[in-house]
Amino acid sequence: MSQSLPQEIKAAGQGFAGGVNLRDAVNQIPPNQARKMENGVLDERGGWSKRLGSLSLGTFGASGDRIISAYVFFRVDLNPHVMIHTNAGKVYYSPDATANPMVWTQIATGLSTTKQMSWETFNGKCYFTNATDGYQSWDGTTYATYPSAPKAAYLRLWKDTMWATGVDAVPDRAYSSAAADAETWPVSNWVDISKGDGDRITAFGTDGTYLIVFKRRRTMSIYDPSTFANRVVDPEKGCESHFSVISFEGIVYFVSRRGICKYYGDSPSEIISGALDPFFDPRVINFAALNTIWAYTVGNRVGWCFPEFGQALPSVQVEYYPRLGVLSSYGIRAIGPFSFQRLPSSTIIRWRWQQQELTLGGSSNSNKFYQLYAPVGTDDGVSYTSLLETAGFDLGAATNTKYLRRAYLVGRGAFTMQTKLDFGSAIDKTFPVDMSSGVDVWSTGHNWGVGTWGPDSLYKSRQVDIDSYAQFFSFIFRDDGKTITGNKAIEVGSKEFTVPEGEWAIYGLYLECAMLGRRF
Amino acid sequence: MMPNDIPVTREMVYDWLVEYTADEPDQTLREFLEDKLEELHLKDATVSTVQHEDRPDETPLVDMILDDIPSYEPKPPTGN
Repeated sequence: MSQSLPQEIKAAGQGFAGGVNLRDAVNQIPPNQARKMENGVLDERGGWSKRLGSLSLGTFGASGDRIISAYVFFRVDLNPHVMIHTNAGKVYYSPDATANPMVWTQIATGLSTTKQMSWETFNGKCYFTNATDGYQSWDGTTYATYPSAPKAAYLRLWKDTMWATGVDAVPDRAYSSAAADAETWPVSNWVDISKGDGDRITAFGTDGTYLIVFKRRRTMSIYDPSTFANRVVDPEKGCESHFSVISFEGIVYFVSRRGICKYYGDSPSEIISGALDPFFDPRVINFAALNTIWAYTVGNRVGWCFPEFGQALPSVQVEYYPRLGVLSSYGIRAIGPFSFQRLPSSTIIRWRWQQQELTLGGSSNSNKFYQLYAPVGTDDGVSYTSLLETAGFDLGAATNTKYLRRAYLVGRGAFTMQTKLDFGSAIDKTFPVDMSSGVDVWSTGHNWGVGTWGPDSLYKSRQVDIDSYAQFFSFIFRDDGKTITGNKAIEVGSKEFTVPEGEWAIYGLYLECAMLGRRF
Repeated sequence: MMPNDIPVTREMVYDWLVEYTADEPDQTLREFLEDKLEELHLKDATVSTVQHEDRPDETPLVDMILDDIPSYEPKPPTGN
């Protein structure tokens, strides 16, 4: 009697552009999503690259000082000032973020050590406030205070007017300055938003057309700056942190109790972080410190620094890739992917002047100021690991056992690949994968046939002989905290630009298996 | 008057409150503010509050100022 051979299967992975998924059951995670993603970027769609590191730009204040709020004060045709507020109750500015070390000059002292400054730029001045210290300004040379202005926690510029809110004694009240004058506050230019509802205004935002007024449990908008006409936009989602509100490519994002939201204005906001639902749990993040959530943008992504359980300041970053959402045939872009970073910073800002554009931030555990995503391979001398753990692949027949013969990888750099079988926690096998550029170039000292010569591609493929049996296979790609960087090629027609990138990247995973029978 | 058109600023009220605190006049804060507004011919001025959900369409200016007194610091004496 003849016996058929096991069916051979060749399967191509779908990449990792779906981002991290904490929500779905382990066997339900789509193949282009991942169970774990940390310290990497999805900039090359479908691929995962280790992120760049953090470069110290020197210290500020005393060793125990930490930055609790930061801002870039852009000035016409002048080097932007970096402004910081520290937990020592001091505000400093630095005139040049390209200097190393940066030089910090104290503007004010004796300020709150916990309440973050909210900042805006108007009429050539930087205005800042918190609910303890009140309204202040800095024009590049002169510091001023305004004792009669509302002692507000938050500022937002809207319709050529400064808006202030968060005065402790009147938690529902939104104030407006005189038009085009952020230093004059007409005495009756205010309105109470949902007065006495047991909540307080926690944030201001704007989509350019309306002033968005967030409470913790609801969202309203003011649509007429003269009459203060306002309406409820979302009756059941509010905002946890004024500093979590950010605009990116025409869309306002913010963080609510239940997740990261996309503001629509004409309908309730949409929670876009459904794949991260378990993250928004008081046993995971510090609900008592959600007012410290800090938003930033870098490249094509939007990020938020979150305080984890037990942390008073943000300790982990969630990054969102709006442009990687799938575009429908109607031109509507779906929700994009998320991933995690562990940058050593709790307040992140974007600085740009002339040829330089930098991502900057204050250290979460020292009085240092960092250039983040800098072309270095460590976080200020400390190695960090990039990690990606894929979904469990069943290769189209979940109930059958498969023999995984080998995998073909496309990537660059050197990393470690590990396998896990059938959702177990144990590592099945570990394989070092080296796709780093060859350094053994041909020289006059070599005999014929020794070494390599000619250009060496950044991108390579490698075969890994896996030799394992299971119904579901998961793969982990990680490094052991190496301290070097890699490169990425950007081909502009016939000219190639090489830009620094994290040390390694995985772009594709192709599997060769044999389908076996069912195990009873 | 529309809120933006009221020619009284928080800075003016702040100075009045400092004066009221220092002088301890024998009058309530409301009476004191009404006197100040009368000097500006605004004693009977009203503010459009049609968009305030807890107010009539027009509210006396002095009531608007008194309502917002808690937002001034250092805290002036209360009572009207």
